[in-house]
Amino acid sequence: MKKQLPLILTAVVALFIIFANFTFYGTEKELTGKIDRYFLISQAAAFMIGAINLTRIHTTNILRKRGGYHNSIALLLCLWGFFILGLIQSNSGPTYKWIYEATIVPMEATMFSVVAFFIASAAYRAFKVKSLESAVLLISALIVMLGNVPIGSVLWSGFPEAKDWLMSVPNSGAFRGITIGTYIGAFATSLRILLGLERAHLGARD
Amino acid sequence: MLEKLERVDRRIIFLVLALALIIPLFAPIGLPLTISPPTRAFYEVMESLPEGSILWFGCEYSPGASGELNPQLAAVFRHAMSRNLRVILFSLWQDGPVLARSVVDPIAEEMGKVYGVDYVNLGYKPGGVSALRTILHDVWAGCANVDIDGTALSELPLMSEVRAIDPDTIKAVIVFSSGSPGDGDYLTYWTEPLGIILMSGQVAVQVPTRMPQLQSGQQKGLIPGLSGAAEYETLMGKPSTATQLMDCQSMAHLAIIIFLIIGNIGYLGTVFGKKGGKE
Amino acid sequence: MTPTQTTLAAIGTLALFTYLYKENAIFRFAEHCMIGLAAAHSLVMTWDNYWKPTLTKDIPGGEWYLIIPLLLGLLIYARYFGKISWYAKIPMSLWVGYGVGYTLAYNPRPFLTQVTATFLKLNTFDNVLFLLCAICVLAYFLFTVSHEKAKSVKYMSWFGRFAIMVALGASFGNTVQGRLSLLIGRIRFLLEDWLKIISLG
Repeated sequence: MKKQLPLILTAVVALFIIFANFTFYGTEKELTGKIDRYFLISQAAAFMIGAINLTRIHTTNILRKRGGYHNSIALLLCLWGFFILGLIQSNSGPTYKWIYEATIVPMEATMFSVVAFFIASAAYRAFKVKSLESAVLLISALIVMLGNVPIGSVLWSGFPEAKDWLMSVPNSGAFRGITIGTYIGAFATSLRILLGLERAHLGARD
Repeated sequence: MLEKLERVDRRIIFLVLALALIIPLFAPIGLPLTISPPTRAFYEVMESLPEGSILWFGCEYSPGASGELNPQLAAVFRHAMSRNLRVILFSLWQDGPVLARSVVDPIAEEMGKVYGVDYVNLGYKPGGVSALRTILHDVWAGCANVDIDGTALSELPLMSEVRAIDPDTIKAVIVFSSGSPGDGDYLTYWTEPLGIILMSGQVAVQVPTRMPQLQSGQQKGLIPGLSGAAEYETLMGKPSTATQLMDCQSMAHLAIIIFLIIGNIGYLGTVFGKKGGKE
Repeated sequence: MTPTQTTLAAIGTLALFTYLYKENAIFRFAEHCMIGLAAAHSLVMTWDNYWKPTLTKDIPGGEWYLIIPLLLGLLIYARYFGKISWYAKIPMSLWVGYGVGYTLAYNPRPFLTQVTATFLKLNTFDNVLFLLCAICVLAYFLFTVSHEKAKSVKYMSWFGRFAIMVALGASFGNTVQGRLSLLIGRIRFLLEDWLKIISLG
């Protein structure tokens, strides 16, 4: 029961979705729209999982006074304080919006932007011509970098054209192969799940 | 001696990169831009759309990508408004509509465009791909009959023409995309089955992966990153923020390339130094 | 943004930038606050867009059957309760089945478009190279055939590796541009919006 039921449910739901999308019956009865709505609501019910896990980890940090536990206190205060504020005001409340604009927006953008520095540093350290493959990689990167910015065409007027060619022919061809492979992989995995051969999502390790 | 070139402290690299980005902000160089074919294709499709056409703008990004996608959205929205095209903004990302509003509202005001008539912001619709499918057949119901501010869609004249997503209503879907859900989902569930034109503004990271879709015609045009936004501004004859920022890009790229070369000279120095030592 | 908001945003930005010098207490504090706030924001958005309308409008409005998916979703929390933890597999299996169904129903179409668009007229060098790159990359990922025994697959795979290198190089080049754009955005915020020492308009 514990093992069979989830597998049967997965297969039944998958087959039902396919049936609903491939037949006039599904379209006429507006089944697909309804299923989407039920799915969204059921998934929304799980919205606390992340917060619960964060709370468990950081509460343990605080109780055991692990190094930097004061940061865990700050995290939990921000998490539950801001959530309660959101419940009281909704996400369009003035104080809520004020905090959102002053903290989440700039800090998230900064987190992503910091990567630029590490890309520069990593390129300097790791981008070495150690083999023919790495030489091709480096040359391709240099052409694209110089073709992407105006300084490239100042150095050599052919860089933008070379970049456009590289992007639309060999790069596009290679990514076509990768895309086709990805689709085939997605179909294969989906079929394996449908047939009950793939059970990782149910916690099986085999 | 050459080996030392391999051991530059990372903080020196950071400092040089920061300076390369900051100096052009104070002393702009104004290097000329070259227009890439995907951006030109995007622009030409926009030019070919009949006046009054309704475009669907998917603003699928978060603050992390706003540095690249806000300038793109600004350029394309300005172009759409200047051609009297009408725009519906929408997002599957919770921050998308807020970011988009900060971009389009000032432009609309400057150009004398009216909210509800020339453009509408439907706001955030949660649920990702499922939400896309939900609004496909009934946009009003899918958006709970309200726009981003809770205004009833029945009070917005533009929305009276948009009840469902089909090629007769929506002439093109333009997705400003920084991940998933994004242009790939619009392609799978909307534009490919319905035969609607799809174009996208992409964060630069995603551009190489979207080239096959451009080649196959699944996407008719593509704006690549900040450089694409600058190219679009140039095509419109209205150089703006993105164009100004390309000088910073140029200098920073040059700095990284110089470090790449230094690193490789250092590496070759180490390799040949070891070989020399053995001999 | 108000001046106070701008100052707070600048402090947050600078606090995160301190990581560039080295890992430090200021960065860790800012990082933890950001994670807490971002997680809370996500909760609030889900509450406002799903829970609130479902509980206050839809279910009282006659759509009582929405309680069923809601309860099914709530079963995911069973994972925290030892003996009944396996109940959490029920919503998980429903969601995965849903995803599998849509993958198999909708993805074949764009997939086939990609496949058909690969077979170009071989009348130009570019078209030949494009096809070669696509097929050889596929060969590179072909693991069911021994690359040592099947020489043709071996050579195609060898060429495919170079095509992948070109594509990865292109990806790197574009990633540099992308990340720099975001960094420019932050530097611009600090200099233009906060310190007001430049004006780009």
